[in-house]
Amino acid sequence: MSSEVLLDNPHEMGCTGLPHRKILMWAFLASDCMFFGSLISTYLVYRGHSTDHPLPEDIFDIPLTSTSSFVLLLSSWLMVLALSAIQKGKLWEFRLWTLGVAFFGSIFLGFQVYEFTHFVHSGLTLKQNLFGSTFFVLTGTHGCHVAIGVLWLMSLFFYSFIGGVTKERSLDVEIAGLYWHFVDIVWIVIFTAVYLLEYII
Amino acid sequence: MHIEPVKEKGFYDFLGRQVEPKGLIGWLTTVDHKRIGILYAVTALLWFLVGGIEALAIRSQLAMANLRLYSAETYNQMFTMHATTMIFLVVMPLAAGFFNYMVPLMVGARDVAFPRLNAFSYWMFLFGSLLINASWLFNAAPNGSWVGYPPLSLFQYSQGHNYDFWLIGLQVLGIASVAASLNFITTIINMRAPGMTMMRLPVFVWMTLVTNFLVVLAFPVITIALAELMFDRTYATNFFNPMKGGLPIWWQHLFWVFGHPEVYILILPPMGIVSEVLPVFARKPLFGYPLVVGSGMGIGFMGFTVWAHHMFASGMGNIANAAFALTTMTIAIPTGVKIINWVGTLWKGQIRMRTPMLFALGFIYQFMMGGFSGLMHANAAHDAQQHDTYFIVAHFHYVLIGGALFGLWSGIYYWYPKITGRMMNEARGHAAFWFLFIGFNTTFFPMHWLGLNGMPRRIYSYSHAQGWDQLNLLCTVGAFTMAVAVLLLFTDMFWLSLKYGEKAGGDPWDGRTLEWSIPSPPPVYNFEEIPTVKALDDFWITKHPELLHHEEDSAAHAAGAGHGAHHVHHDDHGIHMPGGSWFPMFASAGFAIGAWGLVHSGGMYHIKEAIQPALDAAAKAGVSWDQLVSTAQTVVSSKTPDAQNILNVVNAESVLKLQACYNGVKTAIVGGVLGVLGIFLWALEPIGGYYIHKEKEEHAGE
Amino acid sequence: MNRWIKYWQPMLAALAVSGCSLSGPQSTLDADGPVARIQYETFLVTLWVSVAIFAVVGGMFLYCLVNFRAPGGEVSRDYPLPDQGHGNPLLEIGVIFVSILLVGIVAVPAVYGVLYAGTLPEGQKPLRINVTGYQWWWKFEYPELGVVTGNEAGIPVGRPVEFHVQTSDVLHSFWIPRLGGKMDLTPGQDDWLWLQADKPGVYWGQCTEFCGESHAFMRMRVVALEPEAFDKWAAHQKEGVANTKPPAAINKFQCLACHALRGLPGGETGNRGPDLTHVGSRTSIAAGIKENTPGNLKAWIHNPNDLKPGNIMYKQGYIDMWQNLMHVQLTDAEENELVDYLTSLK
Repeated sequence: MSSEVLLDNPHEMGCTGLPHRKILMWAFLASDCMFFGSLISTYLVYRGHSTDHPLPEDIFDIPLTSTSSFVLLLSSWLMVLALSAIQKGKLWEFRLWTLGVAFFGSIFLGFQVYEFTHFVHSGLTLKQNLFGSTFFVLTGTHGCHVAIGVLWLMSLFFYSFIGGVTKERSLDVEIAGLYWHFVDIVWIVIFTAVYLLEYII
Repeated sequence: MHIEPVKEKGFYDFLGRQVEPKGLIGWLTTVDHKRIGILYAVTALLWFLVGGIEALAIRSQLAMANLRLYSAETYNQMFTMHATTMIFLVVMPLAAGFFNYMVPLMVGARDVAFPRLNAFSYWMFLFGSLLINASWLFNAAPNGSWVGYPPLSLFQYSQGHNYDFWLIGLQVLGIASVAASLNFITTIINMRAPGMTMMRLPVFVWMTLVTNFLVVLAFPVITIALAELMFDRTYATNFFNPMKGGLPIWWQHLFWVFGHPEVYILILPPMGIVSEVLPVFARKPLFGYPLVVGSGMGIGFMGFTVWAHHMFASGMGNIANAAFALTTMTIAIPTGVKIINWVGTLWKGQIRMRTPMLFALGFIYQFMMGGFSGLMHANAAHDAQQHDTYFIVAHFHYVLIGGALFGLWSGIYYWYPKITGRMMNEARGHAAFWFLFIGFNTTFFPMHWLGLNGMPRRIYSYSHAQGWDQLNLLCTVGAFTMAVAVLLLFTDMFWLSLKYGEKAGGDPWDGRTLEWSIPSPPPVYNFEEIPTVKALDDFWITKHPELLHHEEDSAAHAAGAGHGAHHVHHDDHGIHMPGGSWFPMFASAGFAIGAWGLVHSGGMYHIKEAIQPALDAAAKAGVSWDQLVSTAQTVVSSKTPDAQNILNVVNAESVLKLQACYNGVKTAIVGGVLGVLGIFLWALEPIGGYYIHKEKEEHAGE
Repeated sequence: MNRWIKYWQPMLAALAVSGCSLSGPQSTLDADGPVARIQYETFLVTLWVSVAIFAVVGGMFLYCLVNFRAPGGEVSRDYPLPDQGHGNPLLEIGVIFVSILLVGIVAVPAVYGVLYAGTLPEGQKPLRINVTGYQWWWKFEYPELGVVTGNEAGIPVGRPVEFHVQTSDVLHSFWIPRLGGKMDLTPGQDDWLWLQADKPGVYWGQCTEFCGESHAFMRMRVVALEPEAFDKWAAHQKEGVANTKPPAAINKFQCLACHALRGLPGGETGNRGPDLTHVGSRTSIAAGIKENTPGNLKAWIHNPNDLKPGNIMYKQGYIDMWQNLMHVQLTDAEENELVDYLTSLK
């Protein structure tokens, strides 16, 4: 889908004055909203339906997950800096910030791997109960999104060394940024629906 | 006119990316929206034959009471595959064929926004359709109806790969649809010719836009539902497993939140086609264009608010039933508006009875009938009687054949000259219409009565005492009459008219929209000059300049101002055409292999759980997995338990099944890696292609 | 509302051209109970609104087709154009308002019908029956009366019956068309519906939610009896069959592992198949698919898979005898004995 990313396509700008890829990305994100919406609503519908332990209150560690959520939010801020840098043509700054985003994303993934491992050791597996099924599929899907984002950003990072990322092509970074911010926002919703809700209700 | 290839470097030179696609390689690597459109349509029509044969098999079995032409299990596979085929492999891709071929022509563009993504969509669709039909070869065709309700679809009740084929096949088709839709949304929003404001878009393009938004928003929901069911079957999760607190009703909600917009995904494009055909053959503009467009959007939007009317008998309670009855009835309003506007278009027109028009008129009548029975289902009180009976079967065939298919056939007859450069034969066209029209109404009108007389759908057989014999026989006779129409269409379309049809010229129907302003078939670059659009039905206005003033008064004139900023790309290079690419097919073949693997991993954890004691015993005895598998093979072939008494015959069979699941997982990983590799290579691939230069003299000649 | 039916019925009958009978054992048009009748009447409202719209819009459509044809069916391009009007805003707004009005006319009775069918009637205490769906037969339990029966339920005439539906396996749907609309049997839900029969008779029903291989052969019957007759029936159903002499085949083929024959030793527990205690008193066998005659019964026992492919009695009882991989084939004498015995269980 990023096919046209690397090309000089004279027809790139459309009649709305927006580049094609940006419209594509927004439409894709709308689609992804429904995707996560279905997963989150599945989680919420099944809340309290588990017939076996462990339940959320048995194993959630909210401070730990809050930390990883904070790290992910910080990465969004770095993403803004990275985009701003490449738009000004500051290639080294761009590389620094992009690496930062990918690094923070990886930290988030590390937390998630730790959390999953911990949960499995506490007896929560995909097939243990409904909570396990819904929780792992929802957060796992989000984790996959983050992992794809990290790979994407790292590709941009390496590509910048062979001249693939320039001020003129800052759109590539902008689109990766759109995706990254979306993944962050979705996490805020998931964090609220899955973790914080245990505190509230 | 001469052609200058773009110079390419290195690796990509070796891939046979030709300047101008020729022969088989040309088709396999094509990124041309017109060729992809033809591929879509031809593939869809071939599946239409398959789905039609399935339909005839169903009708034959039901022709008389107590028939046993083939087994109940086969019958269940037959109707499941008939529905799946007709919805996902025929109506959607046939409409997609028209999107592909016509939308760029109608908005005045040279191609879609992402040509290779477009090719990828097609190949995904093709491989997905092959995957889901490959199930026939393994006697494991999906057998649980197109709605796949759990618990029946859980591994506990369905242990073959039937549902795995269905689940994974639909996932692959879903990817194809969403990718295509993102592409069309971008194309329509962003690639309109200068002056082509949104309110000057042909209605077909509008309906395409609405349809593709529906696809983009509805398919993720079914993707999740399918994934959850797949996880239930393969990894023993509990989403729909009532033993662990899962709610089968949740599947129904997810399915219909997708399923109802899907209905509009099927019907809106044919509505668009009819809205194009009627003005051309009544020689006057579409009545109430803004309202037709607006009601299309309204139908699309409200499509998301009515899903639970498919579940009136599922015990949702009075409040929910009443509420969804009301939202559903509301949809009758924009639908009624459309029909009134179509009739208004005919009013005081000069109706030209050509074949496309016949089908469009048939559409109006039958869609009206389907709409009325729809209103009757919306009455939740009586829907308790209609639900899951032949009354429903009658209704949705009235909207899907009488509506969608008649609309699409109208489109075929209408645009065939544009696509092939030859006219379709009028006499044969009229004959096909009458066979289809009479056959269709003979088949499906009696089904209303059958439903009211208590005949449930999805039944393999019925007894004489139930009193449904005569009408069922009538339906079967009608079905075979329809088959004659299909044969007529196919021989005409693929042979007689293609070979002997008279030459069409650019504008055989006295058309109104931009696609008729270029030669038939259109040149690879579509438009020599990107046209500048002055009004709705621009080509018609060009032919009748005296109407322009009138047009501008009523059409959205103000919006035109915003288009001053648009620049058509003129440079010394001439018209740039992208080169072909192998990677869309490569990537989708990779994903298809992966999907094949996933199908065969179905049931993995359930099987493992069932033989866990044997596995534990094997582990205790120090038997490795490979040894266990070879022991299992001996046990199964000799039908005697092994010496160590770890495996009996039943366990041994499970061990082999588990081994097949593990192989499936391996295949899935290999396929996934190949698919991602394909996308990477495609992302790095330069656009290549060639430039078409117009000679000076040619300019002078025009 | 009840009055409408008098006017509409003959007109509907006129609509039913072609001489095809619309009255069958499962016809929704022959409403024999208040629920079915209300549902039918709301249907008629929708039907006649539709007919009215069809008359107007279809009439206009037909008028256009007849009057606004191009001369000779086709005209040349330079033939004078008709009026190029783009529409009429006033007309459009009018159409929208009329549609809203018509939808309102349809909506009110629909909502009324939903509430009527979805609310237990006041007054007479309803009889409760618990319905359980199995692949592919029905169990009826009367918790207040202590009666259990399979595939055929007795109900009293003129008294509302509250059916609580649940499933033992996959989805099914409980439907007695002449008494009223259906209700799905969904795991994890306690759903109910009420029906009432106005007059005595045998009402046919059928599973309407696809439930696997023999979905088509999952039918049932509801027998409406006058109140006194119903009480007698219920009292009789409660009696066991202790003083009968079961043939040897019953034990040989372990019939009681699944079927109950209350009163016999070991005959109380079987619940994977229908209760056979009074099977001889039923009008049909094999979940309503065949009349209860000795010949049909024998054919059913001889090879259950013929009548109902994939059923558990055949798959587990006949083919592998509970995984002992023993193929069962009854002798003709055994079959006759069984038929005689079962038929005698009135």
